[in-house]
Amino acid sequence: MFPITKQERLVLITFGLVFLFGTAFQYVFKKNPALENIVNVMDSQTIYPKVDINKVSYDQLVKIPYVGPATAKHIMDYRKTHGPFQSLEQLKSVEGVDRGRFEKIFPFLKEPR
Amino acid sequence: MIKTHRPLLSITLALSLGILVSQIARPDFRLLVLLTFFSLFLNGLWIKKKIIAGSLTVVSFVFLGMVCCQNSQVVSEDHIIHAARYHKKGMTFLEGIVVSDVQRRPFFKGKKNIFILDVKRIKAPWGWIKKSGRVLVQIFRETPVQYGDYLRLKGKLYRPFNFSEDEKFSYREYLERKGIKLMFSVGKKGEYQVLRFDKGNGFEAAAYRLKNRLAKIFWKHLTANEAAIMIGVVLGDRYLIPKHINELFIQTGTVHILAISGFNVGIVAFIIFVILKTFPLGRRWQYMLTIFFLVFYAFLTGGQPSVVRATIMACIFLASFLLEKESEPTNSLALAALIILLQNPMNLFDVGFQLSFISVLAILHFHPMIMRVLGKLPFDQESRVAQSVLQCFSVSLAVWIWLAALLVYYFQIITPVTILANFVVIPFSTVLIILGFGMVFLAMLWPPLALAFAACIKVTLNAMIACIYLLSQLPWAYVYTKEISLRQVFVYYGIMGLGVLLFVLIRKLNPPKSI
Repeated sequence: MFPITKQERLVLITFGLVFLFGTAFQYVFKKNPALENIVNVMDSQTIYPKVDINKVSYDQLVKIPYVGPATAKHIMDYRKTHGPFQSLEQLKSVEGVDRGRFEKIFPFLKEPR
Repeated sequence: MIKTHRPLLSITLALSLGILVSQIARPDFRLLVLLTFFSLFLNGLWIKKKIIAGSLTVVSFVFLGMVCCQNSQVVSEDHIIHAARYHKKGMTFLEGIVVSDVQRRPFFKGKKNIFILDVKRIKAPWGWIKKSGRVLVQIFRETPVQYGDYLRLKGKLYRPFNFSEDEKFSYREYLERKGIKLMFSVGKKGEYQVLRFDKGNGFEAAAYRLKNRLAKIFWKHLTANEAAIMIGVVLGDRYLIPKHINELFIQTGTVHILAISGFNVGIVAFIIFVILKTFPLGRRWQYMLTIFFLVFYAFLTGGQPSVVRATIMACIFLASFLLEKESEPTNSLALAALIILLQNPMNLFDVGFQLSFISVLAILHFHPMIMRVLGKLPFDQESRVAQSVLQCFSVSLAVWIWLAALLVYYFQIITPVTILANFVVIPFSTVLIILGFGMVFLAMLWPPLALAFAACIKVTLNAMIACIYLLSQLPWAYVYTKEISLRQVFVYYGIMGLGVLLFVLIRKLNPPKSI
């Protein structure tokens, strides 16, 4: 009656499950848009919390993407010599932080108050 | 006991040794050619004497490795590098063909386009001069430039520089290994002009066109970060993955799932095979078409060493069904290495090449040893679940142990959490690859159906990232280490090799009792 092979059945079951779950997720996200934001872990700050440039230690700085040991040392030296950063833009004055590097680092830093 | 025949393994190891020695000692090229010829001649002379001829074959391939390595580093007289010093100041005009896919990377509020240009001509004060060689071009704006376009560019020609004092990684050396000695920037004052279209290879052009079309599907249905990861996993473009997410994968030792490897190629081969099964085709046609589509997929993903390795191994495996001859995995692996090294000997120093081949060797030879040891543990030998858990544990442990020294050398990190993380990440990534291919396939046939796949991808991908994040927060999940020297790496692998030899020797002296 149903002349389909085992592999074809497997493909159809997989397709059916994906379609079922996908439609259910779409329905839930449409009804509760807030839930979509909760699911979206990747864009949340939980995965990578922003750090305060005036309070961050050397060890924490090194862990920030695009900041290596040399740049971290330059930032620490700058803070020691010039005092706390007034704005994130001031980072551009630090040795080793050019425009390109600044653009990459700044999403991981909090604007100083 | 069946004796395994692996003629290509010793040849490939000899060739690799030759490349390594040539990089360190740099012997005279003419002498090397003579020595290679002489050893091959003697080989032919004593072809019937098994031991002498075998040793001479190995020796001749060591010399051949040196010859290939030296040849790959010599540039022709019309190479653009010779003209570069005259174009240090001011603007330079160049003409050439785009020979790579065009990367469209975000740059400040706009985008920049990056691609490799096969140089044809350069403009001197007295007119255009024919030149050869490859340069890495950056155009600091969005352009419609595509693979195969013949371009005229106005910009700055310069030697690549090392971006940061933070990293041991040298960008200049990395590009030189790929045969690129110069960069060309087309900034605000620069210009570009497409003079002719479709000057590239038709097969490659079709692969890149399809890749860009598939990438657009991901961009359309997913958020930027989700699309970047899916494009990396399915289409091989990893440059779009945000650094902080990439870092999470590095810290948990699971970055291998972001790179296209044997695992991904295996799933792709399975999907192609399942689709082909729905057509009224004979077995032979199914195998041949799967091989064809796998090669197409290797082109589509940019032909990195790990993809080429996995594709060659998969093709040999499929061809063995066609020829009705059993393939030997280590021999297939050696053939893949041989092809990649003969194409560019400098690939031996590529991190991706080293990680890819060592991990497969560990799976092929070290994983069974671990399984033999684990087999003595008191557990239900009949249980399929227990067997699967042990297999996964053993594979992860084998790869982790064999890659540890290289990972410390290149990335200064030890990731004990890897073994646990693989249990979580591998099932997730398998589902993601299947969903990813399903989505792009359906989006081309019937777009509304792709929405259901996109919703599943969103949930699965975020769940995987959340798990990876939690694993990275475990105590002692990863440890950043100090730099180690190349000598220490060799000592580590020497000790590992001796350990394996000892294990094999003990096994030979005390063979397992058969029932």
